[in-house]
Amino acid sequence: MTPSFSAAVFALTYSIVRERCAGAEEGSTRLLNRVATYILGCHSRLPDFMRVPLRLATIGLDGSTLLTTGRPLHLLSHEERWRRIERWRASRFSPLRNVLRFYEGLAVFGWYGEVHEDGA
Amino acid sequence: MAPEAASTSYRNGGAETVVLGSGPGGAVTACLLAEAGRDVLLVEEGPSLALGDTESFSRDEMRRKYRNGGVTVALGNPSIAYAEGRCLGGGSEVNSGLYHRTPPEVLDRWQTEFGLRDATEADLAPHFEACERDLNVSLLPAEAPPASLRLHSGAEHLGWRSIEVPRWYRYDAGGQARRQSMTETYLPRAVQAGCRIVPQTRARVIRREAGQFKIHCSQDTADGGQRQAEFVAKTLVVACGAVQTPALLRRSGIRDNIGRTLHFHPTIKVVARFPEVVNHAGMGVPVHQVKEFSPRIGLGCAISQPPHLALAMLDHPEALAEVLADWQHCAVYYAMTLGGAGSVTPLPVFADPLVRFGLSAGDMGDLATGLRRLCECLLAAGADLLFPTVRGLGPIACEADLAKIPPALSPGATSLMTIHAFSSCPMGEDAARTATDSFGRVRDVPGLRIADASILCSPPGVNPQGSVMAFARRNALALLEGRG
Repeated sequence: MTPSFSAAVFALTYSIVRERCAGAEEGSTRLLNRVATYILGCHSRLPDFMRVPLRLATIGLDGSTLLTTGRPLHLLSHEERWRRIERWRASRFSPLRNVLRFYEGLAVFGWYGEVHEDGA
Repeated sequence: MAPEAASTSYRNGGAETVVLGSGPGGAVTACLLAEAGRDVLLVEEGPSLALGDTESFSRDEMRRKYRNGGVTVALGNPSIAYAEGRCLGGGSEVNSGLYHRTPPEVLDRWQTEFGLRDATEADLAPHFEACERDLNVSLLPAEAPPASLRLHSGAEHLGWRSIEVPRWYRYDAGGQARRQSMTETYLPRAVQAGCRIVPQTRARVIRREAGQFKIHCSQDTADGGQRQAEFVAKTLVVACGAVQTPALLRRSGIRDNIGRTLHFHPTIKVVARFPEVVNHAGMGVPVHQVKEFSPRIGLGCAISQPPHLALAMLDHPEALAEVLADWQHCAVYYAMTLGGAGSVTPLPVFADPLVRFGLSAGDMGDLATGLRRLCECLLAAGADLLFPTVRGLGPIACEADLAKIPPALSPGATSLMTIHAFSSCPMGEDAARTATDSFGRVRDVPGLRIADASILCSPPGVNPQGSVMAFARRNALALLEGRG
């Protein structure tokens, strides 16, 4: 029930890919897990001064639903999670939009990379 | 094959000349000095990988051959995503192999504005010619990829100048193409001439003591750890690229006109959908560029494999799945501009420098003009739907829709990227605004030289690697002849 960086990355990946990308049906967890692992790898290679702020921001997003739902983002249903993500994407607070864009970019790039580069 | 790397027995050694960085500037410099009989040690931060060790433009290549896995950003409003090679051979190993000479009008401007001497078109011609021979710069022997031809046909329809850009490729008797790079050309020659190469070694700081340079490095070890290493050199050539070179020099206390004038080619993209097939798996590098508005605005076609298409569709999420389902009818195009300026600042504690970049309202206007020209060209080429990387700007389907593009793009809504960085340590005789003299010698630090895109005075408006190699060759020969 506590916020977690890696669980949040997996949750964001699942939601973004399922909502945005063709072929990401419920059953393709192996590919989705590979995309999430790819994003975690990208995070670990970021410029060093950006890693901690992004990690904290991600944990913050995960924990932001605790007050209203009693559960972190990664434990919400896909529908609930997506509603929040859509709200954050449209936020007037640009750092929040930038965090979402970072994950959106890597998620769609990673997904279509899995599907097309690897012929999965 | 990647050139053989030196054993770690050199880790506490040195050389008459140490070259930091093995991209086009460092590789050409190391090769020419070694072939002239100089004792040369080439230190590269990234791993030693052959050209064919990774698939071009794949995620694997980004992970293994790019700095920060290809996820680097210059902070600003808007922030600009940029990419740098980080492997033996540097950017030459990961780019499209497109080649340009420095435009003559750019050289004239550098002479006028920066006091750059001995760098006219005629002065540089022999250096360009030599590099072109060494890299087999040539036009495609067969037809260009269809997405590239679409751009060309749109420009022709409008009466705009469009060219096929030559590339660094070698063709065997069977017509099979092999891209050229530093690990295919200058680095094997350098090793053959006695140059020692030490990969996976990052220069952290340089000190000048008793007429010599001491280069303090951290070196990757086989077990994933790091150890300290130190090299000593009489002459030091820094060729770590337009971001890492000023970061290293500033960290080492060398700051005059260093790292305060970083320039990019800010680039905006458009995904275009055509009624006919224009894309296929493994489609070669697009080679056409529209030069009608050069150097202020350049138009071209980008790598358009599905992951790259998906990334360019981020501002149109509602159409992403539809475009990707139809990806063989779609390709990514770009408009490249010259504007803006930035800085490179090393941060205490952190290894990676902070890169900042700012664009004025006029620069955002140039990007809007570039975007409008690009859309005009693609519509003339027969595209039926265009998706610019601008949030809130809907798809463009006809000329009337071009009115939706504002006179200046909004910084908060525009997604920009670049693969060209330069001018962070400009060269010339105007000491008030340059970091080095006209031959890359850093002012007031005898024996220290720069040989990468940092010394280009301002944005060249074309891929800078041809310019980097020609200036590196000119400056290395001047060093050998005692002229510069």
